[in-house]
Amino acid sequence: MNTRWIFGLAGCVALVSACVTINVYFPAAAAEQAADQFIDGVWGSETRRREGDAPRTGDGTEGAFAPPARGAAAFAAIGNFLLPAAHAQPADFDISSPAIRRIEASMQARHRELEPYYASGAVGLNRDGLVEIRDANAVPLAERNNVRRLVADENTDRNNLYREIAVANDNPQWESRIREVFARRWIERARSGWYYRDGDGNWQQK
Amino acid sequence: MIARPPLQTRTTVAFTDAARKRLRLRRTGRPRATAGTLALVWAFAAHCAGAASLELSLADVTGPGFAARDVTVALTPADDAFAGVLRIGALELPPPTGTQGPVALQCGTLRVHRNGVSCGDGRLQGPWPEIDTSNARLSLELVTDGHVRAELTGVGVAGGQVSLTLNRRGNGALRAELRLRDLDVEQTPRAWLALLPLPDGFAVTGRLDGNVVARVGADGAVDVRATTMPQHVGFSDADGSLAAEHIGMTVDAHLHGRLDARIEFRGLVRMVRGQAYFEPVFLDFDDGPVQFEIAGHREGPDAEPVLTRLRYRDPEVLAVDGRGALTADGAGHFDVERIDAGLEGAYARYAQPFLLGTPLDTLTPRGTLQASVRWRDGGIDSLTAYLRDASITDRQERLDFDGLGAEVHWSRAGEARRSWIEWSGGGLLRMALGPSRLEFRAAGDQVSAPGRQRIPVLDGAMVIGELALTGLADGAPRLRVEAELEPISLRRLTAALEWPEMRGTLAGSLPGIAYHDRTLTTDGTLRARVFDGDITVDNLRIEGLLSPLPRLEADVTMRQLDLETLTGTFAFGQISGRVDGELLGLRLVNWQPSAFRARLYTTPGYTGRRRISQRAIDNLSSIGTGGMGGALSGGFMRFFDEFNYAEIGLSCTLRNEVCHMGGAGAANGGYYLVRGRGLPRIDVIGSADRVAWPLLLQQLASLQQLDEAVIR
Repeated sequence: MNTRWIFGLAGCVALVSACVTINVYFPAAAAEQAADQFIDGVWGSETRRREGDAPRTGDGTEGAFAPPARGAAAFAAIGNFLLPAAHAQPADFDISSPAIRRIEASMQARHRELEPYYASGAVGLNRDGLVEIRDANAVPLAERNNVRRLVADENTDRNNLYREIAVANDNPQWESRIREVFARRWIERARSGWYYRDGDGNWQQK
Repeated sequence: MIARPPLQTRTTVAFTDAARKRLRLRRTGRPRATAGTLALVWAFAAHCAGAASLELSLADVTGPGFAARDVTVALTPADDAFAGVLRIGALELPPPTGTQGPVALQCGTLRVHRNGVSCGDGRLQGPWPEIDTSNARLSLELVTDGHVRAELTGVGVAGGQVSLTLNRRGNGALRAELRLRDLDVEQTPRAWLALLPLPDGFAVTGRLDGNVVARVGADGAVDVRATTMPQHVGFSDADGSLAAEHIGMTVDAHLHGRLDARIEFRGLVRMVRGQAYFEPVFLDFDDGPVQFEIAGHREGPDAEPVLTRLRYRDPEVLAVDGRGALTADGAGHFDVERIDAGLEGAYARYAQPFLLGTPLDTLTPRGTLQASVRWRDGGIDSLTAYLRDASITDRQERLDFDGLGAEVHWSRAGEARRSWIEWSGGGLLRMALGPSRLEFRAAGDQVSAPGRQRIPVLDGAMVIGELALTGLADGAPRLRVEAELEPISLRRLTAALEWPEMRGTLAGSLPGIAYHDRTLTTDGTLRARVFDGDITVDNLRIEGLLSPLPRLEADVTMRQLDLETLTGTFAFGQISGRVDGELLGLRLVNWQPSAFRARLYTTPGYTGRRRISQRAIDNLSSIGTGGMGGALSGGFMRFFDEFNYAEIGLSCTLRNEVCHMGGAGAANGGYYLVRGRGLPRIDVIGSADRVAWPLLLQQLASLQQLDEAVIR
């Protein structure tokens, strides 16, 4: 084998990946914080109480507009367009679009059904920010298709979520980065006893 | 008692043929001996031995399929018979039984008579830890003409009992009956389970009753009938894709023919209790028993088994009948002549599980489906289906159809017969559809519809010019439609979409609509006429049309919209004139706007009437204050009904639920919404540059309600 060739290739790969890292700005810390807020919203307040998180970005947006600002018109001085001005978004990472809120509500409702399956080890969290059936034998026969449906619907929501967050932040190309952040945070904030896939793809229990 | 040394005879006994058994005694001068002469030898030996026991040692006894090594027979005279013990050092049987030994048979009575030997009240002992022979009894009769009768009862196996009756005639004809009573499958000897081709990690539980009767004719013809009643059966594989619980079933199997030639087989399985999961299908037999029957044959020992008949019965849900000649690899021909499905049950049991995660997993179809399928050499050759008196509803309320009927003919190659689908009413994505009948042809991997078929939509219609569905074979179907819209009233359309009510009509052409991979796209410009003007839609793309979160993207251009009609829509008060506009980067999520760059402005070069009513001015100025009667009502201006204007302009860039506002150029402290002209001159100047989109929508909606209140 021509080792120089291999080193050359490795160098190219390193160069290319370096370029990607440099060129794409991604507010990782803000994304992580936003992910945690979202996860609390879906999985409930247990983690929130534990970690003492700030309230969600979305809660503060609506109804928080400034009082109507009246301006004088030049000539007849009548027609002020008296709509209140909106606040600027306080966070630099937005997870409050209607689509995201809709996904969150849907995931919240589903979580009540999914939680027992996380706890029994039937369903686990994977590295793609999705959920997977880990052990179908832990589910009574009559419920197995229900679990398949829950997992399919949950993953549809999750895929939509990563996409919508990227879009809401005007950077559709962030989708895969957002997915990575979420994948990490879902696992990080999973309750003890739940299963997740580790870096090698093996199931581990929290 | 004087002990005499036992007579020891090294003997070889060989069954040269099962039908004509001959024994050969080698050490004693090798006379040919039948069982009768052997009996005489034994009788003589017994005489020599007096009342003492007699022991015969035979080196090997071999026969077809078995060999017994180190055989000894010990005889003790008793009354008019012997009691005897037969010991076998090692019994070699075909796999999976393998070599067994040592084995002992103790006969309570052993009679040797002119025609043969009989063993009564026999007890068996052997090296079988999994078999309890303590209560087993064997009676055995060997007759000189080769007739063998054996009855073995009370063998304890796997917590249950097994008994065997065997009757073999001198001509080789054999009848054997095996009875199984309450065997626990989990305790069944591993070697037996190894006979079944079960994958690793496959666990089976249950109890088994059954009878197996096997007959072998003198000519070698075999006939085996098995009736078994497995109860409380459960099984599961390692990943949970195959599983069952509490199954109660009967299995009838019949096999006949010649092992070295043609064999016919038939199997009937009735599942009467319990639940089974064959991913993704879940069947609860407590809700309804299911019956499955197959028949087939095998032409010779090296030939593939051929399926010739198939029957499936799930009462009131699904009935399937088929016949033909099909091998396991799909070669051959098979006609499924009848598929009768009650749609509601069949969808829930057999279709919906495959559709989980698709838009079609929340339907409730009703009615009946009849179909037939022809299979030829590895693939479906043709298919015919009839749908009658059917209806479909959707829990997600995306589609519903009433009075649904269809006749579908599909063939792999060649010209297909004409198919059709019709409905008497229904709806798709909130759009009401009137009675329609669509004709099409389906062949190969595509479906095509001939030109100009009309589907009433709301109060208008969609006229389909051309429709083609391709790529059915590769699992990534692609639909292409060209259509025209006959005028649909905007009132009906906006009400259906739950948008603010608009008036006017929508008509136009929809060229080149493609639907592929859950995404609808257009490769041309959609043109429509609205508000007496032209609207064109470019770059339309709808993802997940039927998903929980449909997303639409488009660029819309508007030209020469008539403001009188448009403002009629929003009950804004009268404004006359014409406007152009753009709605670029429009993005609807779940049919609600999430982003766009909108601009509406007086059509450049428009020279017609440009008047704005006092009411429109009032509304413009009062919006946001929550009250009626704006600044005009009290002053001098209220004596004028209308005002002239030079231009009107409004722009909104929606992002993150905030509308960034603008108008027709900058004004003192804001932007012109209306730039007045002549006297009395009125300018409407906006100053808010950021407006909450939900609030704007609320205000539009309340304006409409106010308007309706005024009209009434």
